[in-house]
Formats: sequence, structure tokens, C-alpha cells
Amino acid sequence: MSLLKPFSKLPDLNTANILLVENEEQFQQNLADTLVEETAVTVNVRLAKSLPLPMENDESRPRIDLVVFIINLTSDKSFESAKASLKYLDPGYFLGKVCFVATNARHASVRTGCLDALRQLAALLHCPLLFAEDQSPEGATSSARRLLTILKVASGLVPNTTALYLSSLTRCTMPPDIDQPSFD
Amino acid sequence: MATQLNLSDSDSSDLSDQSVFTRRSNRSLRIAEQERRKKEEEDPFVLALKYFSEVEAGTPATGNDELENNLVRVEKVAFSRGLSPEAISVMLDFAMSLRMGSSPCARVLKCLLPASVVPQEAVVRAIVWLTVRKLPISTQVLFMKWVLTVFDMIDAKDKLRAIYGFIFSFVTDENLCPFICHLLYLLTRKENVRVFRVRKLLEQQSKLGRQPYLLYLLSLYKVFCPELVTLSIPSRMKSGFKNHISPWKSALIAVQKRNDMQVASSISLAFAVRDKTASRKRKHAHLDLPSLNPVTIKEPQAAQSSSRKLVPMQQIQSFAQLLQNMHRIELPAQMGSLLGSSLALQYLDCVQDESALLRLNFWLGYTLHEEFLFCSDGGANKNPEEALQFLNRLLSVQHFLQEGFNSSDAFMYKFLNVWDGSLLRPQILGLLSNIPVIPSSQIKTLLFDPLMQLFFTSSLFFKCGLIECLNHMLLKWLTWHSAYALEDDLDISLNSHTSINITLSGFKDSVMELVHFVGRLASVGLQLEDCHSLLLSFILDFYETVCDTFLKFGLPLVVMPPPGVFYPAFFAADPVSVDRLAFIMHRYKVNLTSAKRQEKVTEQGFHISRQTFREFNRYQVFLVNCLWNSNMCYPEADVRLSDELLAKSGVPQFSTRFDLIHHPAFVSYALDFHHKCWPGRKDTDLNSIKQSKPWNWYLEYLFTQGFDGLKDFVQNSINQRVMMAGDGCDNVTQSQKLGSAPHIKQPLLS
Amino acid sequence: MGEVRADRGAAGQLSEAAESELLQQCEEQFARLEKLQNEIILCEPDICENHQEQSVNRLAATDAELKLWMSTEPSSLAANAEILLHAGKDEMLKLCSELEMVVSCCEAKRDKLRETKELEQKWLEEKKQVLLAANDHIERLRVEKEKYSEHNILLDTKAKIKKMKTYQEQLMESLGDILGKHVPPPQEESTASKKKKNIPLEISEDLVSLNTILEVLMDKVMNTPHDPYVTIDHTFWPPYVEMLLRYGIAVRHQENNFKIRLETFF
Repeated sequence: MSLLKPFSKLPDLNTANILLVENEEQFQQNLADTLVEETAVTVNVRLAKSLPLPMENDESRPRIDLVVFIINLTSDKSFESAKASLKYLDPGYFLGKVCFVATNARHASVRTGCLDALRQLAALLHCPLLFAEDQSPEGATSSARRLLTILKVASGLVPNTTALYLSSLTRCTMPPDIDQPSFD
Repeated sequence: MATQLNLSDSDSSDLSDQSVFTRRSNRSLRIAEQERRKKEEEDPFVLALKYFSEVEAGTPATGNDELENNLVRVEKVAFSRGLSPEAISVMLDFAMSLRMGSSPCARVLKCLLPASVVPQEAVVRAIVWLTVRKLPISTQVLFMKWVLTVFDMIDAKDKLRAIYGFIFSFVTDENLCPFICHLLYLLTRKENVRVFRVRKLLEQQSKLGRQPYLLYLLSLYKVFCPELVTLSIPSRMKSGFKNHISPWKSALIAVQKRNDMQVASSISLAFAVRDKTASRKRKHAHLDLPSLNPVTIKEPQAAQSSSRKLVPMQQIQSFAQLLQNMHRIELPAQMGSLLGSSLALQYLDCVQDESALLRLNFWLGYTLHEEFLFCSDGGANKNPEEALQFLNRLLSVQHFLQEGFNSSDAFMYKFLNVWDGSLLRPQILGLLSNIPVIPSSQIKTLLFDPLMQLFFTSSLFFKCGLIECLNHMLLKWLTWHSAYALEDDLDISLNSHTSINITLSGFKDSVMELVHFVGRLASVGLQLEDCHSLLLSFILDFYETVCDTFLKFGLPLVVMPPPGVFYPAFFAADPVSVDRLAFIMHRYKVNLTSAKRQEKVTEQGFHISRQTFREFNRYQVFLVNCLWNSNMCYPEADVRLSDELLAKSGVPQFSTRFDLIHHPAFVSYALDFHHKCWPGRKDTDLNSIKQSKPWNWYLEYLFTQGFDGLKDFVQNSINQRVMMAGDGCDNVTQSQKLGSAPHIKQPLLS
Repeated sequence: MGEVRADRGAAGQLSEAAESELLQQCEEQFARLEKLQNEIILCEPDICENHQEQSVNRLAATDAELKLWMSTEPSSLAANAEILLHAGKDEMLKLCSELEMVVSCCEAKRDKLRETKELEQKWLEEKKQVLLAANDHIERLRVEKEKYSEHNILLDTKAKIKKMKTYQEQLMESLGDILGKHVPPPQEESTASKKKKNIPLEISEDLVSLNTILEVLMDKVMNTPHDPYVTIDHTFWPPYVEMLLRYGIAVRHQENNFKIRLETFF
């Protein structure tokens, strides 16, 4: 099993590297296009359908500072695939270098319990769970900007902060059950 | 045939309808009408309708090609243009009468998409068929779902109300009960609430358990007749009526959008009460507020027969009219329409009609949920403008009524958990700031947890926006408190229309939680954003509210800012932040002194913890020592650097570096003053300002630059003698004193 | 590290000495980084599968970080005055741009407040008018009330009573019609519907019609409201009683099964 490790390579100057994992490969391209527009630092975006990453690119691949799992809540497969990919990450990543992005959370056809399961997973792993409006360009921009906020911290570009510190502030929590909409 | 049916329909309805019809039509129109009729005779759709209205009972449905063909024709029209009121009547009657058995029923029901309105007679007739109880249960349920979906499009409700008792009798049917309750909820008026109905509902409840739909209906009954319903209704209920994945919704929206032009022209009168800017694009919007003017003119006339002579809201056109008829206004069936009319809101605000607010609340909760949490298009708002306008309208209504709606609060709690932090941000933050006090036991899970995740992952601007929003929220809470707190200070009803009662100590706990929460956000936010001035300015806004809770709002609570806010504000390089901090500290002092005085006078007064005084004193001593005494490195100081580091830095007299002259925020003022004071001097020696005369001039100079906070702080917290020294006496002693022991007027509060 | 880089950006105009000092700092930092990197790689990776262990891991890491923060001492940026000057300048420029944001933000807030004020003033004006109108209305009602003589009230009440009576008669007639048409007396019904075999054949002669049952029930409620119950006797045809009970028109006595009363519809 080839684990992806957070500190196996030296960082580059003024550079942050992000890996977007999405089974459907729908939203990641959009996100990537917006992410690389950042000017203050060099942002490298790597895309993957799932983990593990292929061995042949291992040499050329920079050190990954943040792994993002994009999960479409209207598809069961999306969640299962992300869940399966998690075990190819070094535990070191779970100290603030993993993040979940959920799309379609407001869709009428969200699979029952899918959102809860995702929340549970994110809460268990102490990772942040962001929600994205993947259908609109503004939604993509804003998601990209939020990911950049996390990425900059995760790659050590923000003084006085660490990924672990930020993740303890942003980790997902389970919302109360009251008034949870019941879908029939 | 369809046109004939139309005639018979209006025959059975009010005469007034006819008169309107004749008034409108003139000879030429009538001729055109005849022409049109002739053409329609050959229209296959008309023929299809004819088939359905005339087909004999008992005709077999299976393998019946004629049926199939005609049904396909109707479906085609239905899904493209929608069905005319007459067509709806015919098809509904056909389906519900089971003329061809139950097999085509569901299919027919599914294509009943009204192009404009649904005639209420058709619905009444269908309900009569329902009482025959021959329909399969699934079809009964489907029919009820259909009625609920098109409820807003039913042209009048008076006849439906007339058969309230018949509809009510279905509550005993377990399958239909949820839908019947929903329909009753929409129809109920005060006169419908009767003991035996309440009893029946309670009976039903003991049989089925505390079902939300029963509770919802009961809660409406309770609003109308509190003496009849003794049951306690939980203040926060699960959303009572489920959102059904209605088979019609998306098709209906499509039909409506396509029909935009025609519908708009036929109800053009309706737009009189709407704001003109909004009507440009939004007419076809499904998120659109229902128009206040009913599409038909049936209801007003019906109402006039009653002895009380109610005036329907929709007939009120001007403020003057409203004033005249204030005592006899009848609210429309469609409560959502109230949101769009400023006159209706005036009325609502004046009469404080609980049932109206409850119904409005219900409509709102349903709409918000449908449009923002349960989107059929997954949130890909095809027309984001619609959502924006809708929320803006809602915000302005809340602003006008000076309170939120609990359905929008419940919606917010849910929405925050799936929000991306940017969608409709100003509106969402606006709604959020209208949320009433949340008990401290729930405030964390409902509010803080989702907000914290959003705050720390979002941009600077979001952070500023959220702090501002929480400031507004706090302001509203405090205003509620000062407006609604009762004399005995024990029970305050926070909102005139909600049943949330909270004790004073409960309220204090919630406020304290909120202030502490913002304190945490602010400390860490400043750290993450490198003490950005913009964020700092929003945070200081917040503490300007917090420092005055006692004097401005009469809430016996004082919470000091955390060090993570105080010190960044003090060390800020811009004078405005320092000035505002001085102002805040001044207000804290005034509040604390006055609280202390009151504590002494009234025995059962409140108690401010020693910890708060200690914190205040620590900050106060720090401020005075740094700004005034030029003695930053006093023994108890919180902020200390190692001597070696200070020595290594080579800063001369580092202890004086943050006094009013050398503080980075003020040094430019000191230089400026120096030039003005001693224009001839070549070498600048800022320390010379410290002599008593120039020092007082310098202070005066600073105060004329608009540093009022600093002025208040100096005049209030620093030894008076120093201030009086301006007239020339005591010069020597003053200059000696500067730089020695702290000159605090009332040394410390304890 | 970020700050060091920021300095470097402004290093364009720096003297050679200052620049070399900065470079020196960077070199030192990078050497440290490399050393740490090597240490990390040499470390045996401890893979933990379960979440419990991961939580422990996290706790340890957080703890270590906390200790590090606690022991960290502030340090000076650089000794070279020239560098400090540049850093200070940068800081000032940053502050300026931030303050510009603050200004525009404050202006926006001011405008918003102005709008709000105007709006609220308009509302206040309207509310005052409403209050005035309400007071007028009260006044009008009072005057009207004074004008209203006793005689008028009497006439009015009489008219109302008459209207009510006609209405009641009308209702009774309709009820009678409906019952006559759809619920004929039991005798006739049993003969009319011979198809239904399970209807008991011997129907007592004394059976009364549904009209009568309803009448008895209504009279009882009206005449003795404190005791509205009627005892079921042999003249009440059981299916009728059953129907009245099932559709909530009548209610059985809680203790006595043979007594029923009319549901309180009023």
C-alpha cells in the first residue's frame, strides 16, 4: 500500500500544493481553474479520481499540502469512493491537512442519511467539511477561496498559525437533530 | 363542449361574476368569441375534453384506444401550456368519479397542471367524490397532494370553507390525516374552531401519537381559541407538514414560466400593490410573492353578505383607505401576499393578529424550505435575482415589524449547516442577525458550531460580515430586553408572538455566551488575519455595544474583552483604533462605577464578579501606565519582553515607547505638534513635550483632532490635577510626577 | 518565514550589507528546514488504522504544539536598521491600504444608516397617523353609542331574533327534507332493501324515525342542559344509534352505555 505522506518532500519556496479528489470529476476542474488564479503564492493543483495515486508520477509530484475530497451528496458512490480513498493517506494528514467538500447539499434528492454519514466521518477525523454551490460560477469561486484559506495555512504560509491549530477551530461537528428535515 | 361547461360553471357561481363578465364584453368582443368557439369545435383538445366529460360510466379502460389517444392529447396540452379552468373541472370530475374505473385516475391527476386558476367548484365536487370512498387509498392521497400543491391557485376559498365540516371528517382516516390537517390548516378560521373538533383531534392524537401535523393544526386552533385547547404546544416544533416530492411542482413552474405573458395580462390589476421595480422581471417567478389581489373577484362579494361587512385587504388601495377601514379588514387566504404589500404590513403591525402571523409564519417556513433547502434543481438557481429579491423583501418586512418569524429562524438553523458562506451572504447574515435569543443550552449547537466552521475557513470579508452580524444580533437582543423586560426583572417575553419565555438569568447567560463567543472569534481572527485594521474596526464596533450593556440597555452584565482583542487594539498603528479602545475603556468604567453605585443603593441588586473588576483594573492600569506614565515595563504588566531582547533591539527608553507621544499611532501628531510649538528648533526632541505646559497643549491639540474617546478617557480616568494644570499652577509638581506612580483618579475599582 | 520573504521583496533598494544579512537569514532557515525534513523521513512511520489511536495521535500533536507555543519567545526581525526601515515602510503601506478599506466601509455604513433613518421616520409618521385614526374611531364609536337610544336597541334585537328564527326554520326544513329523502323510517327501509339479508327481519312496530331521535336529543340538550343524556330504549333502532355515534353526532355517556347525548356543536 503506497501511502501519501505530508512531509516526504521538501517544500518549494512560496508554493502550495493541493490535491482534489473527486470520483465524478465534475467539480474539481472548475475549482482547479479558480485556484490557480491566486497570485500571492504559486498554487499547484493535482487532480485525482481516487486514491492511491499512481506510482509512476511519484517522483514528479510535489509535496501535497492539502487533500480535498469532493463528495456529491446525491450519489452514494461518491461518498463510498472517498471513504475508500482515505486509507491511502498517512495519518499525518489528519492533523489538519484533509478537508471535505460536499456538493448538492440543498438538493431535493439527497440520499437519506448520506449527509449525516459524511458529517460523522468528518467529525470523527477532525476535518473541516465545507459546502459548495458547484452549479454557479460564484459558488465555485467562493469555494476555491475558502480552500485557499485552508491551503495557505496547511502549507505553512501564514505566520503564527499551523494546520493543526486551524483544524481544531474548523473541524466538523454534528448538528443537533431538532428540526432536521425529514425527506420522504 | 368546453365552452358550454364554462357557462354552466359560471351559472352556478355568483351572479356578480356574470355582471363583471357582461360589463367587460361588448358586441365586437362577443363576435370574436363566437369565432373562437367555432374554431375550437374542431380542436382535437376540445374534442378530447368532450370525450372525458361525456364518456359513459362503466366504459372499460383497458385496451381502450380512444381513451389512450384522448388522454395523450390532454397530457400534451397540460405539460406544455397547462389546462384551462374548464379543462381542470372536466378532468378532475372524470378522474374522481371513477367513470372508467380507478386505473386512469392517477395518470389524469398527474397531468392536472392549471394554466391559470383552479375553479373551486371543481375541488368541492372532487371532495364530494372523495366522500364516496371508492377511490383507492393511493389515489386519495395523490388527490390531496394535488389540492395542496395547487391550493394557491384555487380561485376562491369560500365554498371550500363552507364544507369545512366535511373535510374535517376525514381526519379519522389514517392515510389522509396528514394531508387533511394541512388543508384544514390553510382553511381554518376562527368560526371553524369548535370543542368537538378539538376533541376529535386530541382523540386522533392519542391514537396516532403526537404527530407534528396534528400539533400544527392544534396550535392554530389554540391561537384562535386558546380557551378550547389546553394542550401545551412545544415552542419549537418539527416542521409540521412534510414537503412532498410533488409530481407537479417542477412541471407547474415550467408551465407558469411559459405562460408568463398571458397570466400577467389577466391579473394585471394585481400589481397595483406591488413595488414597481420588482415587477419588471419577477412576475413569473415561483419564488414570487403571491399577488394580493385575487385572480377572481368572487370572494369580495361573498364577504359582503355577512353582517359585519368586512373589507377584504385586497380592496384597500391607499393608506387613507386603510385608516378608514382598519377595524373591519379581512385578511386574504394567501398569507404570503401580505409580505408584498406595505399597507398589509401596516395593518398586521397594528392589529397584532396572532393567527395572521401564525399563518404567515407557516407559509414562510414552507416556502423557505422548499426554495432553499429542498431545491429540485439542486440550488442551481436559474434566477438568483428571484431569491435575492425574496429575501430582501423578507428582511425589510422583519425590519418593519421589528421581529423575526420563527419559521425563518428555524430555517436559518438548518441553512447554516449547509451554507457555503457566500450564497446570498448579505441577506443570510441579515436574517441571522434577526434571530431572537436562544437559550444558552442550545446556542452552541444551533449557532456557534456552524458559524465557527464558516468563520475560520472564510475570507476576511466574511469574518468582518459575521462580526457585524453578531453585533446586530446582540443589539437586537439587548433592545428586546430593554423594551420587554418586566418590572420584576424575572420573566421577560422576548418576542410578543413567540412563546419563548426566558428568565433574566437565562437571558444573561445567553448574552454572555454570545459575547464570549465573539471574543474567541475576534482573538483568533485577528491572529489569523495579521490584525487587519478592517477586522479590528468591526470588532471594536462590537465592543462598543458590549461595554454599554448596563447603562444603555439596563442589563446588569459587564463582560470585558479578551486580551486577544485588547492588546492588538492598543498596539495598532492607527490612532483611530487606539482612540476607540480608549472610548470603550471609558464606557466600561462609567458602566462599572454606576453598577457599583446601584449595587450599594439597592440591596437586592446584581453582583458583578470580582473577576470582571480585576480584568478591568488590569487593562486600565496598563493603559494609564503606557499612555500616560510612559512606564510600559511595570512589574504586573501582562505584556513583557525579556530584557536581553529589549537590550538587543537597541530601542532607547523602551519603556516610554507607547506613551501618547511615542505610540506609533500618535508619533506623527507629536511631530506635527513639535513643529508647531517650536517652529525654530532644528533638532526634534519629542521628550520636551512632556513638560507640563506643552503636555497640556499637546493634549488639547490631540483632542481637537477628533480623538474624543481619548479625551473622555483622559478626563475621566486620569488624575484631575493634571488636567487642571493647564492654567499654570502646579507646574513643577506635575512634571516631576509624570513618569512615576500611576495617576489614576479613582485608583482601582473593586 | 513569511516575513523574511516579504522583506526580500522589498530588498531591491537595499544596500549590499543588508541584502547579504537577509540572505544569510534565509540560508539558516533553509538549512534548519532540511535538517528537520531529514529527521522526519528517518522517523519510523507509525501507521494507525483505528480512529481511537488517531485521536491519541492528535492529542499528542496538539499537546506538543501547545508546549512549543508556550515556550516560544519573540525575536527581533533583524538587527540591520536599513532592513527594519524597509519592513516598517511595508507595514505602513499595508496599513494605509487597510485603512482605505475601513474608510469606504464606514462610508457605506453611514449611507446605510441614513437610509434606515429615513425609512424609519416614514414609518413613524405612518404609525402616528394610524394611532390618530384609531383614536378617531374610538371617539366615533363612543358618540354613536351615546346617540343610540334604548328603543333602537330593542328594535334591532327584535329584528335579529326574527331573522334567526327564520333561519332556524329554514335549517329545520332542510334537515327534515334530507332525512325524509335519504333516511326514511326503519320499517320502510327494511322493506325497500330486501337485498340486504343481514338486516334483522322482525322490526319492532314502535321504532321511531331518525327525525324523532334527533328531535329528542336536541330537546333534551335545550331543556335540561345540565343533563343532556337520553336513555336508549326499544324505540331507537340500533343502526341509527350506531350511525349517530360513529359520525360524531351523538356521544355515549361515559359510565352508562345506554345513555347518549347530542355532540356539543355550539
